[in-house]
Amino acid sequence: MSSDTNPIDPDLRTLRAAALDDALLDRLDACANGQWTRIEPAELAFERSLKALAPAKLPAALMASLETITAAAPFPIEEAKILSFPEKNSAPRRSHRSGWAAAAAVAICGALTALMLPHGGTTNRVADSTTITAPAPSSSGNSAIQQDRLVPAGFNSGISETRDEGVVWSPDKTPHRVVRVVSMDKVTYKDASGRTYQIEKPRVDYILVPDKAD
Amino acid sequence: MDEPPDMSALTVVPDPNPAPSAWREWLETHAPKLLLFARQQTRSPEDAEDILQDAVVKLVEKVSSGEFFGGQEAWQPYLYTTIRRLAIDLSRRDDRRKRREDSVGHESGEAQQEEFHPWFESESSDDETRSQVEAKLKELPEKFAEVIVMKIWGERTFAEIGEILGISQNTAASRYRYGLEALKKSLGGARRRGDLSI
Repeated sequence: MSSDTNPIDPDLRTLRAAALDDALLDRLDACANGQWTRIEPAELAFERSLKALAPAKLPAALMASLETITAAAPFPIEEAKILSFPEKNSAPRRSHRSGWAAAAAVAICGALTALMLPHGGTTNRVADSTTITAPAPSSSGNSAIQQDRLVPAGFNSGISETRDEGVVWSPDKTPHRVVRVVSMDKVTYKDASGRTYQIEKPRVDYILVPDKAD
Repeated sequence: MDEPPDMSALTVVPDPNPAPSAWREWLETHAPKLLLFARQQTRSPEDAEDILQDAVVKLVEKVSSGEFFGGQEAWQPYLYTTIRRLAIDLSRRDDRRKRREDSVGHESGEAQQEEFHPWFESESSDDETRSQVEAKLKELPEKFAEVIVMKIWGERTFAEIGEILGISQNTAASRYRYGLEALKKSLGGARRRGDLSI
């Protein structure tokens, strides 16, 4: 151990920490202001040129392997994160009315499109949930209501209930109000001999209407 | 109570062009970005594919068992994190194995000729640009390259990258800037000569 007992502290205290260079100072300032993560235009231009290079597709063998892995797994449908709605029993705010009307209109248009398309891909869904109110003529049996022989002759949809289900947040962090619209769609078909068939289909649509964050 | 619908009266028409499975669509969209990241993280294309596959297996197991918390938007951050973790584990195992092999005087066996697996699509740019960018990315310090790959091709935010790497978003932004600057500098000569399309 050294025999020099003179304290070194005073000498050390005379030393001053080096000043920050301007670049580091700017960087710390930008961090403090939350701007460091913003990309400058020059960086953005280079970034875009690099982004034009697309990552190579998966080799076929790897894709096949991944498909095998995922084959048995159900692909989940996104569940809405519904928050509590504090004014559930009160009248909806005026600002929502136009949104609800738009939501109902969207629901009706969707229903009309789905039911009027004779060869659409919705046949399975119709088979799952419709109630036939006009019986098929006995002369033609079960084949009478094959959709490719029927022609849409009319459509009617009545909304029986709308309900505010609260607010969900989309992945881009914007709030949307969920509106539950219950309606009954009635579509009329005619066959070649002029006989009419009416199908009633209850619908429940959940419509997302952009909303303001509180 | 309503009578049940008369199912026999309706004809179910099978879809002549069934849509690809939702999983396949998801993989086709996102897996190339993940494979690029896995390639950046590993020493060989085979390792990258193995690690991507292992990461997808882990995701599927969690989703199937209901243990995965968060929606689909959380899948990619989870996969990036898992790929990185698996790559680190693999690298450690490889290092230990190499030390063992070196200590007994064996060849490592890694000098075999690698099949060429380009990182980028051939349609997206000319060969020279693709090979130069790939080569320069491989030369960058890994902590810069991984941020660049996740930000540009993985389209992750700095906040997500920070979460995946266990660093702050400001540190992620710093690494991105340094990396981008270094990449620009290393590509500078070829860019000035007009050899590259970027």
